[in-house]
Amino acid sequence: MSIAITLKKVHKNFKIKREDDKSLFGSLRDSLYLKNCYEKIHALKSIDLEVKKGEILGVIGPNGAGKTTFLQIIAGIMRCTKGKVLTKGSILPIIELGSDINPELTGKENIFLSGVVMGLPRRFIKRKYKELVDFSGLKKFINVKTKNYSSGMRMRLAFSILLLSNPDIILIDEVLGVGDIRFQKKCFEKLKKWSNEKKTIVFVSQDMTSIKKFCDKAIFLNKGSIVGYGNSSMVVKKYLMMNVSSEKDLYYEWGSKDIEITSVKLLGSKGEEKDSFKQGEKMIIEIGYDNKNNVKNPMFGIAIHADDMLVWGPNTTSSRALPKSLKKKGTISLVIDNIPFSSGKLFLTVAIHDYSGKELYHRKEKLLFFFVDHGLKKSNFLNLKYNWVFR
Amino acid sequence: MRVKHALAIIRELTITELKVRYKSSVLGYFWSLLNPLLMLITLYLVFSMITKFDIHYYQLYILLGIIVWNFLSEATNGSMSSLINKGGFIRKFNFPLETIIISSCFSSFVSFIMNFFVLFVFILFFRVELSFTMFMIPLYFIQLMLIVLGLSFLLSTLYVKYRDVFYIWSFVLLLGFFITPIVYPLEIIPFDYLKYYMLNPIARIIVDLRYVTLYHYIPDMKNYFITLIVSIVVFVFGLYFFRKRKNGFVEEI
Repeated sequence: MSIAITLKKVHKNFKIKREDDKSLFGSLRDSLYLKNCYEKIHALKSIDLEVKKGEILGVIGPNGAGKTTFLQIIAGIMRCTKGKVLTKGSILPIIELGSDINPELTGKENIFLSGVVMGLPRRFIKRKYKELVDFSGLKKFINVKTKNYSSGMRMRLAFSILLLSNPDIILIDEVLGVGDIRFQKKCFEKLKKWSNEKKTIVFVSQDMTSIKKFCDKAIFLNKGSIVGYGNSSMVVKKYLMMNVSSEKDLYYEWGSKDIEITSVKLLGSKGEEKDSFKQGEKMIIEIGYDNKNNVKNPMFGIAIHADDMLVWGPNTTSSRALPKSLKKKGTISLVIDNIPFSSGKLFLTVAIHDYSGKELYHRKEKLLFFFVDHGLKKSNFLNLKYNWVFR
Repeated sequence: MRVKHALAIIRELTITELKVRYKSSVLGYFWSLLNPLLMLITLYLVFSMITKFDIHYYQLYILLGIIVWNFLSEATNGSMSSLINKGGFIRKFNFPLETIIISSCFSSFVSFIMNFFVLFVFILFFRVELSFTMFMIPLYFIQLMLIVLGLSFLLSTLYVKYRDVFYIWSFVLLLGFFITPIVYPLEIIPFDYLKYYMLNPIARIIVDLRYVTLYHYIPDMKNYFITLIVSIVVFVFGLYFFRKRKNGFVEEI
């Protein structure tokens, strides 16, 4: 299969002006020694990449990783400092959606202006005009100055203009979340249509679900380098894991600490520590405690959240699971024989209350992250035990 | 293909520029007309009070100067900020950036032509005789356009990096207004300095344009070609400077 995009050892450096000293004197001094106040930023470092024709490549990474620069360099909008970029076919960059819309012009005038700058002949735009207006859903407002549009309408207009062209390569920069739900659906349908037509797509997004859903392969950019490349769900996992390690210290804890949570471990079926599981696997949550003030009848509880939604929150009181006497120091384990849910990234909270739950001894909020992948073909969120009953 | 794309963009941007300029104010086009006329009245009153220049059709003499000078300052100032204003396009589409400057100059040129028509209304009103020398007017427009384009390329490139250029250029324009024969006759320049004074190509163009428009006189063609060469040099230098730097614009805007 032929290759649509080739990047060979691509470097991109920026010179950024530092404005530490905001005073008049400072800026005067800076302008006297022009050279000193510039800082070199390596936006992209030695990028080597090949994208095959018809492939959908996802690009993920934290803010400032160089994702937009990466797209601008492929599109030829920006030149790389070192290296070589080769592309085959016409390119449609979908970057900074709506920045080309002139508020003093009507929707119709904007369509023609942006269309022509994109490289479409005026006659072609005229022919496609009606179709475009229908797609945008802005028929009523098309002869109104765009400064009177809502921001969503402006985005819709901008996106519809882009769809006029028939490119071979499409570069998308975190923009597919525009407009209302109906419009978003239309956009994703268009994306699917493009992928069916075997167009090459490079797709930057923070939405890991759509990356996994649409992209064959993905790259993980961090600080200007490719730190992960391959199968999209694998790269997504790597990215999420990196976020875990950098966010590990960011949990909240509070309580009287009469009895304290000393450790929390996630264990697999063989007692090994791990942080990613498969649906249906065995998981053990082991909580170490230190009963410093000899609290009687404490209640241990955990909560598992997916984002902010509580997935499951059992405690020892409701399960009537506490021993008559409690050791001064020890562990309590919650054993789940087969994990019934699967939802990518999950957060674990552990807390110890008094028996009734009124008094809080110690709570560690979202102190751990773990992953549960659906190991099966079907991506059910829940895997419940159930029966069909025929009568 | 690239050229066709560029021409289409120039056309579209020029029309848009004019539309925006004239649609968003109540009096629209009349502002660009009113401006030189008000300036004419002011300058005419002031200068005919202070001194009495012995100039035929003094009103038209001033008006022509103002119209040309206005074109120069409007086009260069407009182009200077045009790259910043079109940043939305520059950051997201791959197209020849020269088209932005060219269309900005063209739109000012269109206003200039319209103002020139108004000048002709006055010419008829003051019963200046029409003459075949008027057919030479476009020759000077070519020189003017080349200089304006060259300056615009240069200034816009500098402006992307140094916003100071805006202040410097407004000063240069103010100074230029007085070292160009717009309100006074050439005769007040001491003869020894005239050589240096006429090095200013805009002065040359305005003087010669007056000859062919108002005084039915064909100026020295040798001077025309010298000025033409100067204008071409200005144009080529400006364009070269622009093209040398244009790849860096995306990052600066």
